[in-house]
Amino acid sequence: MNKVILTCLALCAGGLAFGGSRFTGNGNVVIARSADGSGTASGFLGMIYNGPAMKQWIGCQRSESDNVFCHALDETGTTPVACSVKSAFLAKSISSISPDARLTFMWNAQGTCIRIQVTHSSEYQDKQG
Amino acid sequence: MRHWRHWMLPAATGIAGLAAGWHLGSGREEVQLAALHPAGQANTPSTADGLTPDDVRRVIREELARRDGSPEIPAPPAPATIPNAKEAAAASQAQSVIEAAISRRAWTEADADAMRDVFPAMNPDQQGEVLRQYSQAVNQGRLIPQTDRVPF
Repeated sequence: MNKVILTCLALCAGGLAFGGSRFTGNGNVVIARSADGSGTASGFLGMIYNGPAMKQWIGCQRSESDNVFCHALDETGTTPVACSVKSAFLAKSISSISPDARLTFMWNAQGTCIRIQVTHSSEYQDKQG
Repeated sequence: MRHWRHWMLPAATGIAGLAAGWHLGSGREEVQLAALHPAGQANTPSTADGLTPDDVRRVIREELARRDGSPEIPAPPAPATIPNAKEAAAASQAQSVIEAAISRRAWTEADADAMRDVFPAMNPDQQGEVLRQYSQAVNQGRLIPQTDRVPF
C-alpha cells in the first residue's frame, strides 16, 4: 500500500516538474499615455478574467464593415482609453484574439488605432470558469 | 571565298541588329520626350535636349518616390456613403447621445442602451464617426465611462 502511495506521489511530482514555462506576472492592464494624447494599452485576457482585480478590462471589437474599436481601463479605474479606425488590416488582428491572448493596442493623438497586436503563447493562462 | 562567307553572314546580321536597335531606340526617345512636353508648356525654357527644368524636377521627384517605395499616384479617397433618411435620423440621435454624455462627462448604462438602439441603423461611415468622437472624448478626459459594458 505504501509503495502505491509513494509511486503516485512520485508521478504527481514528476508531472508538475514537466508542466512547461508559465508567465509569472499578474497580467494586469497597463496603460501608457504620451503628452500628445497618443498611447499604448496592453493586458493578458485570461489572467485579468481569472485574477482578483475587479475594475480593469481591455478589449476590441470589429464590425462587418471593418470599423474597429478598442478600449481599456486599468485597475486604478481612473484612466480609461479608447481608439477607433476603419481598417480591414487591423480588423484581422481582432479576429485572432482568443481567451488566453495578450492584447496590445496603440493609438495616435487623434484617437485613431494605429496598431493592434495579439500574442499567443503556451505561457499564458486561459479563462477559467 | 568560302572563308569570306563564314564571317560575312554574322557581320551582316550584327550590323542589321545595330541599325534596328538604333532606330527603335531613337523612336522611343521621341515618345518619351513628347510625353515630357504636354501641351501648354511651349514657352517654358528648355535645355538643349528639349527638357525643361520643370521636367527634370518632376523626373527626379518620381525617381525619389519610387526609391522610397512611395506610390507614384496617391490612391483617391473612398467616396463617402450618402446616408438615407433612416440613417440620417439614427446619426442625429447618436450625436445627441454623445453630446449629452460629454456635457455630463459620463458615459452611463443608459447612454450605452440609447446608443445600441441607434448604432446598427447607421451606415459604416456614420458608425466610424461616432466611434471616433467617443474615443477622442475618452482619451482627452471629456468622457468617463461609468460602466464596463462595451459602449457600442
